[in-house]
Amino acid sequence: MKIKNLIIKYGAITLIAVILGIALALQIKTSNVSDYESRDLTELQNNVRSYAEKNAELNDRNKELYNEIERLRNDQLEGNISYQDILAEQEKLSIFAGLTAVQNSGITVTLGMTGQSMITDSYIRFVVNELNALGAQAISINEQRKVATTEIRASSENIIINGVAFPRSEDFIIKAIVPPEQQDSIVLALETLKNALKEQIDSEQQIEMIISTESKVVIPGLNEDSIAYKTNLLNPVEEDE
Amino acid sequence: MAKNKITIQLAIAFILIIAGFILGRHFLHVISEDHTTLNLAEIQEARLELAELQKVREDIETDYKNLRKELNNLWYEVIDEDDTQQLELLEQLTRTRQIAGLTEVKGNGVIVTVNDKENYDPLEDPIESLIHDQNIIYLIDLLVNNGAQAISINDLRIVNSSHIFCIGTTVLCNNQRTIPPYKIKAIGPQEQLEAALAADPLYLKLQSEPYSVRFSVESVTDLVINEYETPGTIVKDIEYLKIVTDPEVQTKQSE
Repeated sequence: MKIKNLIIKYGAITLIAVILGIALALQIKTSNVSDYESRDLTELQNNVRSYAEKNAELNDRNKELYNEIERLRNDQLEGNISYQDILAEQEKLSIFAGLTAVQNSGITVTLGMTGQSMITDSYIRFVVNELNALGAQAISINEQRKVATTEIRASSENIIINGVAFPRSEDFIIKAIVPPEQQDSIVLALETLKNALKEQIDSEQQIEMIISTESKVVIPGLNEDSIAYKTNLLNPVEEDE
Repeated sequence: MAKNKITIQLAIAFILIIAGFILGRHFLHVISEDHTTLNLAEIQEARLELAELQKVREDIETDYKNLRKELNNLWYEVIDEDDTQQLELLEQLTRTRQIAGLTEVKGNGVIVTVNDKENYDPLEDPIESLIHDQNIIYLIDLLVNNGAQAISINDLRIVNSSHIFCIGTTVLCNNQRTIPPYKIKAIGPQEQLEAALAADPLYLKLQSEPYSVRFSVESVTDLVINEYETPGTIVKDIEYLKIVTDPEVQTKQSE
């Protein structure tokens, strides 16, 4: 009788424990689903906000174009075509494309390695990408203008930039024109990057990075024939349609 | 016998603690049930709103293409056909627009799709299982170093002024939020691009356990890459760039 009672007791406890286990598992799963829903909603709302803002911006762009067309039509009717507009547009786009040499206050970073070590292309890319993310409006590496399609890659003992080879054993000088009011914070961010790079490299190969602010930085333009501007594989869409 | 009794009592106490925990959680869940229902309605509403905005975007883009075409044609209408200087200037402007990334282009290339690990769990999975700005910048560098001539991320054209960085779980590119999956389009030498992507050590590592980042490459013929979407911001993009007036520097650049 005693044994039977004991079995019933243990059996009941086991059954309760199993039911509680299942309930616990279900409960956790339900709350996970809720978490995913909240994350989805936040992402969707961010996306909606972003789309709405961008649509407003693109509408303004269309209005600008429409006004330009109207102005040109009026000028045509009045026989008053001014080529200054098209010249100004060409000048603006040349600066944007990196074809024109530019200057202003900015930052210079001298990058090198101690001893016999040779610099790797990734360190240069780290610095350039950091400057880019921090809002640099023009960047050059050893007097080569960095544009969207500038290659920075190691090839044996050289680093190739815009098709020009520079010895990896020598220092690389990176110049950037940055918003003047952000110069100090950009220097701080670069100092943080320097420390992070130093930690990555073992003690025998030390990276040297000298960061300085300059009242005048000159960034050369890139020749239109440069490899970085190669467009032989690109076809305009309008012509085909 | 007393020992058995204590064991049973301890087991019951343990079960009661768990039961209390479940009851507490359940109570909280019931309270938040209304909120969850609201969430689902909000999700549905946000999805509809997004679809509507996407439709509006398509219309705006079509308008832009028509207006741009009209303006280009109009310039050729208003200039003197016999004035070669004027014609050259217009052709130069067209060329500058192309190399600046301000025209839609077409060519053979690849589409690289990268995405976070499926069902990413922040408590269990490593942070590398999420795609960050650095992963995208790395891919762009890889594509450029292998001959890509035009690149876009989720249809946002990469130009000289493109800044890419993370904001929370999204990536900001050309001042626009973009979310995974990230579709990176590149026009360039297809075979070279494919080979470089297939052999890249970082992405080989990220695709393996425990990171399990989703990564695929597709070769596409006549891939279309959008133009830079916000030419209105170009003035801001070059706000601090003053033209060098020193003739020596200007000469040096074109050597």
